[in-house]
Amino acid sequence: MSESVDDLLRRVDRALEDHASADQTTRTVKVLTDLENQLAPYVEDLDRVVAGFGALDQVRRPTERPETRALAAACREAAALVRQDKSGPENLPRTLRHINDIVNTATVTARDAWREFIDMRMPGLDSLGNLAEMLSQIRADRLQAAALRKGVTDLRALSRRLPDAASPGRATAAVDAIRAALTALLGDSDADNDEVRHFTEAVARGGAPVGALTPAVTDWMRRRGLERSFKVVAGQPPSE
Amino acid sequence: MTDDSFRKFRCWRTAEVQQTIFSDIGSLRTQDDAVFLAAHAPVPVQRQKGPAAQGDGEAEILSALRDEIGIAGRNTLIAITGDVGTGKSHAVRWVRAHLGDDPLRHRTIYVPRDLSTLRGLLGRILEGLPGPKARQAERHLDDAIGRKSESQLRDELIDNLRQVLAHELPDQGPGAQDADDREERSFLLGKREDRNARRRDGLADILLNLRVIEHLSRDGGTVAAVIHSLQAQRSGRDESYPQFTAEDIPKNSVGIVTRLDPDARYVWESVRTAPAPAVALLNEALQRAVRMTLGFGTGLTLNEVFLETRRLLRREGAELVLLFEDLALFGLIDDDLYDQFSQQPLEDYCPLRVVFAITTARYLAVRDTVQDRITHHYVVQNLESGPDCDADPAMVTFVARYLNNARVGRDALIAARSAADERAREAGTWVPNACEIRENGQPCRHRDECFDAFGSVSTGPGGPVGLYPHNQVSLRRAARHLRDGNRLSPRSLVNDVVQSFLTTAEPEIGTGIFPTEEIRNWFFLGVNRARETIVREDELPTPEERERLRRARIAWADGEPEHPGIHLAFDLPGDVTAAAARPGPGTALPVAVPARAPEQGPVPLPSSPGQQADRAQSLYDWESNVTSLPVREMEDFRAAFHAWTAARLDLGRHLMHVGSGKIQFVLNRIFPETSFVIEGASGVRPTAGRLRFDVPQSAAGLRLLLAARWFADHGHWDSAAPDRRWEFPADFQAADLQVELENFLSGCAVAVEERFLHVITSAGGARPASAVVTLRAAALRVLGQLSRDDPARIIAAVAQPRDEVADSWSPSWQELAQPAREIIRALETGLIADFAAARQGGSPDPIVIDAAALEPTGREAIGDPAAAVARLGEFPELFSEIEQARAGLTANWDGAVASERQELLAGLQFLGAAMGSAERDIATWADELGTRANDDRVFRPMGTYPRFRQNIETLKSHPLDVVNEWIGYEAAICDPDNPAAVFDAQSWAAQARSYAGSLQSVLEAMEATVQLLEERTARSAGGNPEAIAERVAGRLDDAACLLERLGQGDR
Repeated sequence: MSESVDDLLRRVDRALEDHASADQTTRTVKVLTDLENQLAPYVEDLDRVVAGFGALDQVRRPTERPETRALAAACREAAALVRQDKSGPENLPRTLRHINDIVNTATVTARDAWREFIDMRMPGLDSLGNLAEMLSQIRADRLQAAALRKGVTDLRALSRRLPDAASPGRATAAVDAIRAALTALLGDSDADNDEVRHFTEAVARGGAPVGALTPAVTDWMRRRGLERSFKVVAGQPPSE
Repeated sequence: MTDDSFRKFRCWRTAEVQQTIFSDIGSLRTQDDAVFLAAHAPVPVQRQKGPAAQGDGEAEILSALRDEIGIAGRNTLIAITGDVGTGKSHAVRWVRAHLGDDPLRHRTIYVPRDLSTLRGLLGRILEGLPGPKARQAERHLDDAIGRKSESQLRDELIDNLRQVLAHELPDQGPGAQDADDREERSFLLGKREDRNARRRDGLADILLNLRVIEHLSRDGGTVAAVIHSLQAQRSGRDESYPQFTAEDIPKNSVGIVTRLDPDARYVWESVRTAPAPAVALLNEALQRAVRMTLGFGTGLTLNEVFLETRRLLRREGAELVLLFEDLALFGLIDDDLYDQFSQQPLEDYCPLRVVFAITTARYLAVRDTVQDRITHHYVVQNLESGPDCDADPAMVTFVARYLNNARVGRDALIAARSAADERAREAGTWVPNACEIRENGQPCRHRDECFDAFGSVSTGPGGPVGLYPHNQVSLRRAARHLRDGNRLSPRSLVNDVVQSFLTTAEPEIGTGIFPTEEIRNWFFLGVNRARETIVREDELPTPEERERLRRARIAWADGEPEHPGIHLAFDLPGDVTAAAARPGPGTALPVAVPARAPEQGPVPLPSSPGQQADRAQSLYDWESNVTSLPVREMEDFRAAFHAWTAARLDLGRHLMHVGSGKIQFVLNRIFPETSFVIEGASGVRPTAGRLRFDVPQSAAGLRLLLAARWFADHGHWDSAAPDRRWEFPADFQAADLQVELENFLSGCAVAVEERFLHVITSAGGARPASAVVTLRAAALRVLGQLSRDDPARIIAAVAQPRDEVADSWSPSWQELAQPAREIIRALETGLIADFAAARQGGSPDPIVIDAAALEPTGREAIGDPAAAVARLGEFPELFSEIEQARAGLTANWDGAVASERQELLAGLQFLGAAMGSAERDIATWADELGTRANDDRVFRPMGTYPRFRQNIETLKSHPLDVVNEWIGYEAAICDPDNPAAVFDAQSWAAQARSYAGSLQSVLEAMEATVQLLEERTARSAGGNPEAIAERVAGRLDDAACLLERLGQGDR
């Protein structure tokens, strides 16, 4: 017996009652169906924001949590009432509004915290776009340049959304791809060379001052065969 | 023996016996007329037809023949008929010997019976016939079969058969034939253009086939038999002539059909598949073919030879006399002879004077055309004797003549007749008397002693002839013996009493062993007393000697002491002086003539004493092996022995009731009346498995039967009682016979008891009562009607009648439950009382059952019914009801118990789960819901509401505490080492199964109903409120969970 005798007989009892009051049953079904439809987006929003906080927990990014206990208790109480009465509790709209408020607040909090997390993992993300463009123009490794450009785009898109459970993984993947592309484009030892990085980023912004042309940079150019890829022009370079 | 002593005296020699004593006159050569005439005694005849003639017996026949000779214009046929051995041939031979020769008046052809071949017969006839044709026929006969091998003759006979079939057989068959018969005959004989042409494509052509010829002429076939009869001696005169049979047709067609012309093949197939018509044609052709083989074919026939002879004699004025000692000799020439008998003299032929002997049976078969021409018919009278078989003086004289012949010898007889003149011959004084001339013409030196001891008789002018080694008593007993065997005739007397007896006695007397047991072949040996009283135990040392003396005393002295002369002559054992002291045959013998014991009814009761012979004689005859015990008497003895033995049985001491039907049945099977086998008496013998008690054909057996007869007739042992119905045998003491009878019956009773106890015991040593207790107890355990708490009242419980048990067992339990039901229904508890109960006096009602012996058996069956049944072992067929019951319960108990355990556990677990999950009483609750659903017309499955109600009633009929009690047994039943729990459960298992089944059915109805309702509701309301409400509540629960997770974080 998958169902106990007690349950079976109760089912019969209820079914008989439903059968006996068909109009009431129809109305109840409509109310409940409406209620079910109404509830659905709130639960989905809650689910998304919970997932966002979960992603932040995953990347160990402590974030302040909202106070939800009272609201949760209100929901359980409402559930019990629905089971019992097969109708919507009177204070359910207010409960839903409170859920909405908490979801909105929590979403902002979580999105900001996530962005901060991305910035911390990949500083100067915005300038990397220009660098990628510049490297393309000086006929550096185009594939690596494209990879750099895609990694930058992906990471930038992630930073703008509320994270979910997959977001930390995807962010890590994008950061790793950007680093790999930079290494390929700038060289193993130069990728982390601040002078070369400063020079290339300044070029990418519209021109580096002569002072940025340090020996390390010229050495980099020579080793990479880029001496004829740069020129000196008069004028003031764009501000950093 | 010395010449001077009468001891072992013999006045005949076996060789002389062979030459002088002929039981069959036909085997006596005609030149031995002296031997024949010396022993001749008148043959009594009765004239049946024809005018009276002078003289008696054979003399009258001779006179009749002589009276006819000389009467022209007609034949004379004199028939002498009679039974075998009565003297017919004797009479014909006597006529021949006295007719004399008178060639001017008649020619005589004498056909004796000693002509043993057809060739000899024909030769004898032809030899006596004058004329050239007879001589020619003699040459033909000699050429035809005298110089040819048997193989050659077989081929010739087949050739002649072919000739007859192809040319001579008429197209029309003998007798009345319908169209089918005529067509078949024509088909088988073949086609021919005209009557003179040879037939083709018929049987004749088939006889050309080598394979067919080889089969026809094979050894053992009819052709071989016919040829053998022409050349060789025939085994008997009255045997039928060989005839073709279906065996003479080859069985298959190998080597035949392919060598036949196409039309002949059809004939062959017909012959092979339905040989009877072809066999009939072969037999029709046989007689003619045989004549041709003998040389009497075309141009010369025996009939023509006869006719020519008669023409010649007619011209000479003589007549032809034919004397046949036995006319039924050779069937193949009968027709020729009969044709002559029918051929009247007319102007051309001489008259025929025929005297022929023929047995009565053969005479009736002689064709009508001959019988109509019989002029004289004489019937030879057989010997007759009175009911007490007194020795007929004529018969004694008859035997004495032959005894004298044996003593005188053949040569002396022939010489004496040759030397005698006609007067002496006519008067019979020429016959020597051996007793008077044995010592060189002087009387035998033992004559007086011999006559005194054995007696003598006058045979005519020669003076008294001694009867030695017979006497009047032995001859009377010999005649009685022949009469009892329906063989009393002159020939049997000569054959048995003289020839055979003398031949046997001569060496036996010489060696001192006479008379041996072989005399039973010649003498009636009945006697009116016990054999042990004829010769006492102490009279002679060895049983062989006593028996020999007994035989002599019975055959020659009717069981009395023999004459001293007899004792001496036969050199009998024992003291001749003592024997001489006893009365001899010359004194009045206290001999009651032995007579057949009367057929006994159920013990006839004579009105006065003195009928000892009537009541004891049959027993004496039985003991002496003279006659077997009459069937009725044998049956009476069997019944009496059976009843007396049964009365001595004491089965009560084994607590068995002998009056019970079953016990009687068993007793009858092992101990029927036929258990008593009286040796030498007829009656059914006990079949295998039945007891057998032999009553030997001996002195001891005689005493037993005498005792039984006396006690059955009187009911007491007082042999002097005034009301005695017959005299107790004087040679015995009543008390002795009583003891012997008692010992015999007691022994029988002991044997019956032992066998009875044996056959009621099974191979396992169990007896019926304990087996019934075991089987019924085991059956009741299987059916749950006997619990482990019942041993104290087990016998009562087992024996208690039970109502028919309902068939409500699980499938796995049926293997045991079905035979158990049958046992309770059919196995009689009465066997317990029959085989293990004490009774008071003669009451058939048991007063106490042997519970002490039976209760342990019952307890074993309750504790471990399988083992108890297995221990019983097989019961004999007499107890088929027990054996059937035992065999029924010889099943796979372990398997059945294991399966039943699983079945019970499944049910109990279902009940446990159902009952444990319900807050309210399930029956009441479901009843209410079902009623509502039925009212709303939504009860499902449709039409099952009445059954639902029944199930509800079933559920309500069992209080919950009872159901819970069942469920409580689950642990015990679950224990594989506790099979008793499974047997105990049978008392409620059926109810539990019923309850569980009802519950299951109710729940199924509820399930079906709720599914219907929910479907309808979902359809009409757009959904199931329950389900939707549950989903909504679930959403809210989900939201609560999410909120809690949102607010809690990693806390």
